[in-house]
Amino acid sequence: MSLTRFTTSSIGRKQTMAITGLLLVGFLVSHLLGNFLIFAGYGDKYKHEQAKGLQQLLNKHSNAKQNVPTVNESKKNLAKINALLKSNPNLIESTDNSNIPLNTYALKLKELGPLLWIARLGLIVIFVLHMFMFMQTTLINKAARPIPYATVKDAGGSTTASKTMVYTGIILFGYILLHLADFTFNLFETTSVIDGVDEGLFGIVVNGFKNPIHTGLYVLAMFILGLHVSHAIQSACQTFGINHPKYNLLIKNSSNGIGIALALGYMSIPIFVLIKL
Amino acid sequence: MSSEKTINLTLKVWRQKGPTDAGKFQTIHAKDISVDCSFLEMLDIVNDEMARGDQDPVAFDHDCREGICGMCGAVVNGIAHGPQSETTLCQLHMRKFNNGDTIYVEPFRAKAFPIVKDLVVDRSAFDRIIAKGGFISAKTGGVPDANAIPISKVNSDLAMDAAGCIGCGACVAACPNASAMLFTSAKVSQLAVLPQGAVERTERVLNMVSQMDSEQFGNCSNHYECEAVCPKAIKVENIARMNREYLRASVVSRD
Repeated sequence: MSLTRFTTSSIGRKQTMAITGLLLVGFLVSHLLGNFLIFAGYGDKYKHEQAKGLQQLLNKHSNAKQNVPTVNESKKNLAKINALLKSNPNLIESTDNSNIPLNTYALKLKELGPLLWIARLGLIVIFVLHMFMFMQTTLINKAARPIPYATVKDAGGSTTASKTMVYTGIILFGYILLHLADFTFNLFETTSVIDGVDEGLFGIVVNGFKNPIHTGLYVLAMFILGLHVSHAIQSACQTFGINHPKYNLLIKNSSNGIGIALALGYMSIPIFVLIKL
Repeated sequence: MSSEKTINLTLKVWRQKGPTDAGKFQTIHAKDISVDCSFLEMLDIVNDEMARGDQDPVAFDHDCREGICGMCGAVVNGIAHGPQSETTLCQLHMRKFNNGDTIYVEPFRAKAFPIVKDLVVDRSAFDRIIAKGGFISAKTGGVPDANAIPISKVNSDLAMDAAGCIGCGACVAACPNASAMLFTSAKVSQLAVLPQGAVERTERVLNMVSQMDSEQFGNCSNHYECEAVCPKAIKVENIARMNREYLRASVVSRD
């Protein structure tokens, strides 16, 4: 197989875009499953840990030893703790937040060390290839019709999703940069402190989504993601030659279904956080 | 659909003197057009009037006028070959329009289809794609016995469906990316499903796609507008088949 001929041909480019796109959908699924751990952060076990954390903090600064309190009891002490933290901000780091499910997950990933970087590198290569092929084909497509029609009417083939692939793709690229700045590098310096306790990544996510504008932006981005993916999967199938009257309806419905499921799944997190807190 | 016997129309026709001319729309009033006219006959009537008035008539492609040669074609109100599905422009009748309609008539627009004049475009890029492998090499000789090579009914039907392509170029015109995938895939498919095409299977798809790319057509992004406008209802299933053929050929080819 002449790789140069393949990757510089129209079909080869699209098949490269299709396979990298499908791999990215795979990443989206695993990323979503990981993110669902945020819901677990609201679970009873976690609440207990949070209460314990609050109490430990309180115990450190009041000599009276107390038993581990209930959540409500801890919350009563909040005013005390907040006043304490204000006068002494470095105390925040003294609490252990690794028990929160999302943080445990993030820590486990970090503990992979070089393996994590290999996975990250793979993801970056896949992403760059997808983008590169996208840019090349889009430029060729634009050049293929230098003079546009005065009137254009759909004859019935294209859909909103198919017509907006270029734009949803560009918007998603912008979103990914924003998302990395937001939660991976925390460039916006969102506080990780909830109720006086440093809750690590979980705290950053929850505090971030407390902002309705932030949540709205994410929900909109996930709508666009759903639109992109709903056309992407069926398009990738066609590009690999998977087209058969027996299975076409199944492919189309699965593609739309996966797009909708991913969008709703990802949307549920910021909406849940916004409503819950 | 018009119930009147004759209708009056306002045509906005693309006029371009030659390949390098910028071109512009000309408004032409077509009066008392019989609803029984075909679209091309309507243009004939308009041209007759223009010629009598010492004006340059509208140049357009046509030949058989019975929907089988693939010569005619223009984009009418934004749709290649006009609003009636599975119909070439010559088979579109004026009864499909209403009295007082404004009709935009534009040439098939693609970089690979340079405009010769007005609505006439040069589609020889298609011929060059065919020349790269849209045939089988067979030694001449005695006429072989009928049915000497067994072919399943399914494959025979698939080949015949693909062979329905008349090469009019509406797929390119309708494609948002001006891609020639439906045409090329029909020409690859009609031979790919038959034993006679198996001998040159690998080189055929590689060479034809390579030629298609060098003609500066766009890339298919699976909108299926081509299938919707095709006067011969060529299916995008053929594009999938060509994608499969190309992947297979890329792997097995020894070049």
